[in-house]
Amino acid sequence: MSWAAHEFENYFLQRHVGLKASFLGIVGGTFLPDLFTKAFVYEADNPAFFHRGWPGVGFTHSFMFGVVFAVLVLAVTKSRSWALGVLIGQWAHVATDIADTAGVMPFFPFSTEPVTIGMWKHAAVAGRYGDATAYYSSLGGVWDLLWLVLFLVFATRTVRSDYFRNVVVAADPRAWGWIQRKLRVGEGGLLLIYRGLLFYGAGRMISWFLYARFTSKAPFQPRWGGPDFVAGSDLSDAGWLEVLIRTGIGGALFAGFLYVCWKGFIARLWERGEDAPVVQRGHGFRGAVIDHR
Amino acid sequence: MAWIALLAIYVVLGLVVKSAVLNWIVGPIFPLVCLYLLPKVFGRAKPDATGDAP
Repeated sequence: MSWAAHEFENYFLQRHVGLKASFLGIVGGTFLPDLFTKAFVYEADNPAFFHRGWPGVGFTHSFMFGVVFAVLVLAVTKSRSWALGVLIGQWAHVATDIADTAGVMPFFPFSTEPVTIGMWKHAAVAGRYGDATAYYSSLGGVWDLLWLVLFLVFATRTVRSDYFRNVVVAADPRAWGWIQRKLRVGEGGLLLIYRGLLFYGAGRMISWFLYARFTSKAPFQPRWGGPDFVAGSDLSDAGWLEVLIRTGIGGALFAGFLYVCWKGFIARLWERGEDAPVVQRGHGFRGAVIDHR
Repeated sequence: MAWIALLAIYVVLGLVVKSAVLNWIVGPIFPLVCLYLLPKVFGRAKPDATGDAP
């Protein structure tokens, strides 16, 4: 699994969706795959299979899971920004978790074949602290650093106070207003909450890296498929061609299913949905989702 | 500077108590508590958490 990368990527995504998706929705979507399951993963007999496989809770790391939640959010709240945010955040989490050896089933239930690039080992079998040690002793830690660099290069403007006020809050005034009223904080407090996720990502990345080096004293092994001191956790012995074929079929079925659902009821829910006053949403993917600012 | 100092404190706390601090509940609200709520509680100068440097 990715660790701090999931925090940093929220701001990178925010940079690209501007006013058109809720940042809080993106954060919610990013948390969604692990929210109800991660605590149980470390207690499972086979943590990797429980976390990413089927039968298990691997369906939480599928694109379908994000679609279901996004449609529910749209149906209940009528907020297009929240629905898009949840979808984008959840899909980003799924995409980045392809990098560990357990992989994900992106097109579940149309394909239960795990897809992985095996960049670092899924190390939940080593327990919570062992997992942290392994992640920050492998290319996983480098992955987190890469996302921090991407944030620093492309998305630092998203944490400016004027950006927060004019884009993040403007895109989702009801939610931020609710938080302000409930917590009785001013704009400064809201800004701290907004930047807090970035702070958390940076803090835990540094802390766990130092823990791995100086407490666990684990060797730093930033090579593909590492670290060597953790047992492997591949969920499938299928070759790349079989994975490609099964995933391709699953992807085609998923796309078809989405199209039917869009025509059947999602489009009606979208039309019924509402936007914040400042949002000017166009048609098509670019018009509806992309807003570089 | 406040952010850098706070990050250093968080990292040290994280090394000591680990998951009790390094979690998705405490971590994101740590700056709010330390830079906004605590100054407000202890009646110092109006908490100033704005500024463009993260």
